[in-house]
Amino acid sequence: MVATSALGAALAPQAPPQPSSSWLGPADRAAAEAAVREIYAVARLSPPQIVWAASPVALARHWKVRRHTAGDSVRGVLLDTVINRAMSAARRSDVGGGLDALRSSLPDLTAMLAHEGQRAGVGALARLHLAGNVLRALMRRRPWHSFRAVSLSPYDLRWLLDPKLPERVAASERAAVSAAATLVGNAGWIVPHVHTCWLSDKPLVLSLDDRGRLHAKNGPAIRYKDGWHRYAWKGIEVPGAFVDHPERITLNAIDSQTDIFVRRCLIEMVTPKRFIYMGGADLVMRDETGTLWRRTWPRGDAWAAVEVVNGTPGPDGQLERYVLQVPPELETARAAVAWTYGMTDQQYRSLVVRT
Amino acid sequence: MPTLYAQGDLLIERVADIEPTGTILAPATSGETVLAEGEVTGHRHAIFEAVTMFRDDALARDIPSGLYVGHVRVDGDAVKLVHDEHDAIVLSRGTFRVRRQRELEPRDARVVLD
Repeated sequence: MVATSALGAALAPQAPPQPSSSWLGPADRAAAEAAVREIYAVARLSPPQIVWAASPVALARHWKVRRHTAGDSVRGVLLDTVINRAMSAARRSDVGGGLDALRSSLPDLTAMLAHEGQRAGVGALARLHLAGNVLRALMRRRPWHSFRAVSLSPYDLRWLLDPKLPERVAASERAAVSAAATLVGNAGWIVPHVHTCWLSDKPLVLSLDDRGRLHAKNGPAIRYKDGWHRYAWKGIEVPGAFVDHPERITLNAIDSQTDIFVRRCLIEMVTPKRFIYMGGADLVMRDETGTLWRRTWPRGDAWAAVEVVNGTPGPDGQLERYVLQVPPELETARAAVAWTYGMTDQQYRSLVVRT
Repeated sequence: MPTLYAQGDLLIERVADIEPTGTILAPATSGETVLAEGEVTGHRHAIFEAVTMFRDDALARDIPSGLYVGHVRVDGDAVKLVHDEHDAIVLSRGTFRVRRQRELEPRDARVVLD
């Protein structure tokens, strides 16, 4: 049994990634280029021409035009010869299991940027969620068009920045691992081919929530120096107009959304409590645990929340009310409150005190 | 059915009294055992008397992922779980399982097909 700090131990396994200085700001291009040459040498490849782009999207656009003269992708070669070996070495000595937490970081951001790169790489497809099937069809027919298949994301590789990593790997691999860490720490996305290696700068703005998802209440959640940016709420891309002008989040604007995820984000941005008070939801029922609200839209979309009252009066003597979003299929307020604790309504009947 | 107590966004469930297993969670340097920090207000759910807090995921397999906070064992007389914005809850001798509250996230939205 191991004694450790209470909150530290409780939260460490789920500790979210947060942006550090190594994720942001201008790239150290000289250091990154030297690292690329060293990694290519480890992989027994000739030094490539290095092309910089201000953002991963600019990189993808350039790659789309020039990839025919760049030779084959060597992403897999570099993974096999350098990165996966470093990962194996790190995993062998990763007694605390922290590596998995780092590896699983930022799936939303990686996916979003890969999609953006994909979109830029295969042409002007209008919207991500509409483009998905088209992209998949293209990738099946012409796999060399897949940006995801040829790129390396700095967020997937940031475990290389662990300062203890060089000590953990064999001496013969230390130089390669160190070079890979230098590259990840000094550049953004990487697209390596035999003759050309594309590198992108790092973002100027990168905002995450406490679970490591791309998220910003004010302004873009990610922005590069060429101006490319995206707004996001809890890892979901949202229209910037609603972030910059929250007064535009009206009931009509919420109803008009065709993307159910964006609709949920708008409700959260205006707050579920205000959404209800605006008349956005219908009263389903009340019981001694709270009030259940629900709203349905055409095509099977439904939203629900339970409104509960604090058991203890506030300093002004009032009992504060708050609203929690719950699955729409729940039929009673008690079942909804029970769900928020991961219980059935029968189990929740054992509650004796609520303060 | 186990007795339940709720203090704001924490639910405390009296379970069968057991010896601590898994990882012992040490108190804060100032001596109190902090069950959870308030994400927004910074107010803490804390016990200032001596208790043993431990975390053993094997004892929480019936709880949805991410809700389990830990177990608290009260060996002596009753202790108080305190919070700045909620009345205290008295926990008498025994073992308690603590979980936090959850809310549906935008990503959880799904279309229901009847």
